Amino acid sequence: MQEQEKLERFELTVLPHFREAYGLARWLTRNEQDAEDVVQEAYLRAFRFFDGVRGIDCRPWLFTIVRNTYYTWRKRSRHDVNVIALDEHVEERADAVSDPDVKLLQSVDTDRLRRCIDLLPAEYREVLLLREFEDLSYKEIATVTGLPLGTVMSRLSRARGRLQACVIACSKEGSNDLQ
Amino acid sequence: MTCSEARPLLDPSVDGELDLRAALEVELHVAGCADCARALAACQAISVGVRAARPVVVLPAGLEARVRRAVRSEARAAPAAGKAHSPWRRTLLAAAASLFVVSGAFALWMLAGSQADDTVARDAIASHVRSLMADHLTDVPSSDQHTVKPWFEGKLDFAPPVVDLTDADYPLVGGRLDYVGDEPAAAIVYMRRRHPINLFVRRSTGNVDAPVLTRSTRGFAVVEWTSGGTAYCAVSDISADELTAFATLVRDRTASAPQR
Repeated sequence: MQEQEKLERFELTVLPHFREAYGLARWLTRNEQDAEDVVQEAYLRAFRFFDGVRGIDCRPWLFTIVRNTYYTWRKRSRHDVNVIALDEHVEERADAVSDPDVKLLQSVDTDRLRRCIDLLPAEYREVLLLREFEDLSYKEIATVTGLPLGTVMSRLSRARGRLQACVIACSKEGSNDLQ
Repeated sequence: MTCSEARPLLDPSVDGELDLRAALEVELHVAGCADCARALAACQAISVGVRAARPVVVLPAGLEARVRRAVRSEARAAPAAGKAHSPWRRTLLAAAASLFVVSGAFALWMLAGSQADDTVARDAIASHVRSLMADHLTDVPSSDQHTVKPWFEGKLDFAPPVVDLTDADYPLVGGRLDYVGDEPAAAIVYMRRRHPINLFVRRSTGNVDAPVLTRSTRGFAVVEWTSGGTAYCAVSDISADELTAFATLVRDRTASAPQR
């Protein structure tokens, strides 16, 4: 009886976010098959923990679960290839940007940018994707990732700095190198 | 505003995260500084570019239905819906349940001495769930230990220690008067990410002992310990390991903090 009511409430409030949850899993895992596994496990977990979440905004809550499920899954399946020990204190962004660089960044093609995004360390990539793909505020990103606000800000800034460097470097090496 | 002051604010200004005054100051600085203007343009270009690179999500056919089915069968497997089960399954569940009771009893027997039985843990979970369901997490919402601690004065016949754990990422949310069993208790509420932790504090005559996980069920973990004439019981839906770490931290901090 109670379980039935919980299920109905869950299907009404959490299931409508399925597309977004899958999208996040898809971007984090970079792979459809893995994203399916992660999103299914995340939904089962979400249902188990659903008892205590009446009345809160359920999108960031669900994203938190998807993200944590992804990290658990990654650890389990040893997909840790892209985990680079991050030195949070190293300044990544070049001080000076030239006018041609700005032009280049403004006209960068989507495929090249996607390849550069995929090259980012996972810790930077997730913050960038939560901001740009999911349009979360800094505070919401802090909630989803469990990171302090300052770390969210510096990781986002570094993610963009690395993208900028990657795009500029790629175009200087010639556009065929990465294909 | 100097360049070195403006630079860290460029990303937040692109993201609309600055308050009006800071946004104006950045605007003013950028208007007079070509280097920062280019840096801002680069940042904007990256942001716009990444948004444009957002792939269209194509849901794999049947995935949503599959997940919905998985959740439904999870709901059916939950003990509350026992009526719907076939007889053999009921038997299996009963067997599993008795095994659980036996192993639970064994575990408790192993713990004998620290806790007579697990009614405290069960009551604490019930109080925890109630505090979330009724949307009544705190009577005194405050992140300041010096506000929360005096609030309990006159409401309890002991002074519960309230420690600040913000530096360890367990921000204090407030306090509440509650009961564990028939005993009045101070419920001190912390957060771990989005998950509330209820720390129930009661008077105790028990011996000093270390935090021990006394119950982990239905997604809730309970960790209990006693120290200095006070019994502590932490309940949350965070992992048992994380809750034990929290408990150890509270114990260490309450031991070193000067209490009146």
